[in-house]
Amino acid sequence: MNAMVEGFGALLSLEMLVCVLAGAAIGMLVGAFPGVTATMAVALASAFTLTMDPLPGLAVLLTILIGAQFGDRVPAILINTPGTPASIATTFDGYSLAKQGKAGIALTASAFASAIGGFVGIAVLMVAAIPLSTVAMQFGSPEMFALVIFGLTMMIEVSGKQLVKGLIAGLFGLALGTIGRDPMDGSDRFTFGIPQLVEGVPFIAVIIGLFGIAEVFSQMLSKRHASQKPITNFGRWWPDKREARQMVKPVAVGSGVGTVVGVLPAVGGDIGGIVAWNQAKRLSKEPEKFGKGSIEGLTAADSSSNAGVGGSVLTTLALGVPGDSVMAVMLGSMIIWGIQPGPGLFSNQPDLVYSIAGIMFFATVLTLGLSLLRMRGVAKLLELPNRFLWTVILTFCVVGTYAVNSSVFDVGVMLGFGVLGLLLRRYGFPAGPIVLGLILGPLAERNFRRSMELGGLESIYTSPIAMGLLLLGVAAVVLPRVRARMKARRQRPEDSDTPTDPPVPAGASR
Amino acid sequence: MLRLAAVALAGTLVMTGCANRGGSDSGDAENFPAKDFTLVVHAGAGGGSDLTARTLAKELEADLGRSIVVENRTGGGGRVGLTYLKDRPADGYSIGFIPVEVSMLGHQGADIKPEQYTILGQVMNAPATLSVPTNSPYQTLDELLAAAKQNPGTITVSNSGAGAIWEAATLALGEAAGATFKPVPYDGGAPAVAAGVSGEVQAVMAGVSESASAAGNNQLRVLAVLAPERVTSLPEVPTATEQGVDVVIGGWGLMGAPAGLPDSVKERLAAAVQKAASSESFKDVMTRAGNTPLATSPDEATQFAQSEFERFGEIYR
Amino acid sequence: MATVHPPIQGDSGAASRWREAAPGAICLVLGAVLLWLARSIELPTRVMAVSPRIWPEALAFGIMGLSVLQIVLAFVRTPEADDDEDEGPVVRSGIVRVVGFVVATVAFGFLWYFVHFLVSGLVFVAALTWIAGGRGLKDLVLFPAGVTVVIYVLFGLLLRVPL
Repeated sequence: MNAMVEGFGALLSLEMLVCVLAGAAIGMLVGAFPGVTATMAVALASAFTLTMDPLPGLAVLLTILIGAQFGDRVPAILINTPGTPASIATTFDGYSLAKQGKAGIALTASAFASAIGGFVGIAVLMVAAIPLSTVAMQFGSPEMFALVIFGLTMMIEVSGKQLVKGLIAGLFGLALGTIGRDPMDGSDRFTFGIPQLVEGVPFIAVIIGLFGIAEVFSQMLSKRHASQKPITNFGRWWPDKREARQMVKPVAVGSGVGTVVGVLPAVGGDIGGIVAWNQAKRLSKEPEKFGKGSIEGLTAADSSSNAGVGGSVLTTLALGVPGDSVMAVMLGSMIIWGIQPGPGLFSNQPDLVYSIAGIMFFATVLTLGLSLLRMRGVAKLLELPNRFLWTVILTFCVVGTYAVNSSVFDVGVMLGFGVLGLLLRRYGFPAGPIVLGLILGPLAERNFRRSMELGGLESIYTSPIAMGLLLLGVAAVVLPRVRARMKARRQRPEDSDTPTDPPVPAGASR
Repeated sequence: MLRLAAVALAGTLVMTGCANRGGSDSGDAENFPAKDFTLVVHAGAGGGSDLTARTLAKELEADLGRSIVVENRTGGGGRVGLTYLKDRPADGYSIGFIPVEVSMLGHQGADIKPEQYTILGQVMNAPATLSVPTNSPYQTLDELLAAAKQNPGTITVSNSGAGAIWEAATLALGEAAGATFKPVPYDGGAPAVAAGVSGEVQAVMAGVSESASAAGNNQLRVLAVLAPERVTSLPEVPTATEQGVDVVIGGWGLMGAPAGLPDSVKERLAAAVQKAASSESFKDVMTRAGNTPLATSPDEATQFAQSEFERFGEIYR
Repeated sequence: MATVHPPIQGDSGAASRWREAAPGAICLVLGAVLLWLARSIELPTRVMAVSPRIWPEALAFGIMGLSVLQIVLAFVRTPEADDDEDEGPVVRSGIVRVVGFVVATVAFGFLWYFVHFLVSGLVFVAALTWIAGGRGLKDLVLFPAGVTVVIYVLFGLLLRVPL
């Protein structure tokens, strides 16, 4: 208790307030610009914060991260472009809501879900850090493989009616993930002699292309006059009672999933959001709305990727192992400051842990406030005539993508995937599975092949966690379909086209 | 796939077109430096190489009286940044951090060799360490080597990634001791250390900076440092040479510029690098990050890079 | 780009079947290419528990299998109206705009190499606005200048991106 008072007390200074404010402003700004990620902003800021004291320095870095995870929702909802990878799953429902004239509610709900997820993550960091970190250590290569396979079942959910096309797209995403250095023997694979491909297809360029650029192109293609708006009004800003009640379950699911995924080393908020969206869909009473503007899907994804921040800070502090790429940068700074993350930190310097939790809490409250205040102004941007809006989006996507690696090659990839995304949309192929395959494919392959090196197939089927996750994945895919079919049989035959059912007529695939 | 190849091709055309943008006017030697510098780093912001480069850049700015813009040109495991630096004009205003990869990539199919650069001096060493989980039965390097000799290829040793320096270090150690390990690549140094901490692998090959903090938390037992002498962050750990296995290997960092720098410019820069690398603040940051700060002359560093190049030729034979 | 066939409203016959089958055929070819590429991966000298070819090969077979299914389904299944996609019909001026944006971006990539960002960026933004239908001094000078300066300050000066 004393440590708690001391830890929080250390934050009560003007300097800390300035640091958090600066961090929040920078974070929300970089989050809102597609391409510039939290990792990049934190890395650049760490060059300046190294000369500061540890606590103010940490305040700036952590607040940038949290601010970015609020800011990135805005372009995801308004222009279908994730500001950072953590809001990929936000686009699934957020943009659909915006198109239905509910951008106001989407933005508000997203901000609240993000904040609640953030609070859950922080609470878990303060209460259950050590036990959860031992769970994280149980996740070796076979378990990670199983988790990734579990995540890949989302390809089925996100494809909806277009199951076959969705799966084809997903497999192409996985195939894109094989480009680059072979993870085990180190030889170049499918790189065609291009050095930029050795570390894999530039993933941020692909998401910006497939989501943002393809959306702009698609609007340009079908709008007769450049004056027609994609989003004509924002609707109400505050959710009503019914909608608020609707959000409870997905936020709970999202926060839980997000914390656990965040705790796992080297897995970030992008995967957290995707897995939570998937789980919330399975548990929802209205799964058919997911992907078409479901507040449940939106809030599950957003609460999850923010709960993940608490989770990855937890892993970083309790194990000294970075929870994701942003934390890897922060870990470097901490070591220079003489902070030694690891199991000892919680017993030797509990006040520091509370200070960090306090910073995160304060940062979350502040960014939530800023989001709610500022959003109307940002949303006004969309009232620009299309000729300006399209131009601004494309220009910022070009520069933002270039900024990631200072690479024109990445811009070319973005443009190519923009055109590809447009074609895919016109032919009814969903883009979500491609991105999912590209994120999860390399993880699946690496962890599988590593498991094989370490102990063969035995290492997978002797691991209770791995087998549990694999069985859960199978059950999650099969059960709803069996249940839907049984329900359909009991009801009238014309109702048989259940939403999750693949529209395969009898005899087609046999 | 074809579309991708086409995109890639178009992209490369644009890329190569842009590779040599800027920096064409060459200043005369007397009033060098007459403008700001660009310092190319092959790795992303926030990593160890970036930290070294940025800390050094701060010191260099004070000496040279011009500002230095650090440019991160990441990709291809160092290929992109090193190729970019190599193709910049040799006027002294483009300098770069040159990592150990300069001696390795040439043997992995890239057109990169130490002689393509004017080397200004070595600034740091990041020696390799071999560690085992704390509950491992192996207490010394000898015991681990004996086990690896008894059952060749069964002792799993994690490293930061396929083709990276720590994998090469595992191979070099095995070769020097006449034992065969089974290197297991992970996706970065931290996951490799985590695999050792959790006991998924039997040993970890990693840089001092990564294993020292895990050792400080009593999560790993460091058996040997593959350095010429003991390192400050792990004073109790003997070197491999002390334990009878003659192998010294690890990451390192040089400062350099494209080949063909005018002599006067090279001297001026080399003096600045030496001064910056000897400064207390640079040494302090390096030591805290777990690396060994150095400040060698251009000739020494050039020879060193060349001998490392030949040595990796042997390892990757 | 010219190959984008405008979906003609209300056609449910053979044209729509072919429209469904064509992407399947393209994917089948791409799958075959991937298989060929996977088969030509050099095997490492070191002994590996799993061949590096297995994963890409499995993906290639998966793609080919599903592509065949897609082609078959295109002819077997009765085409259903796509109710959830609100993609409007393609208009000719739209194709011109998209092609214009792509060409302008590629051209900008080259121009940028020769000219400082503040100038090339200005031209780029002005070109995009013009393609999108902007005319007049405000659209083609003031707006591009504003956007370019904002980007330059934000990315070039604050984030230190080498523009």
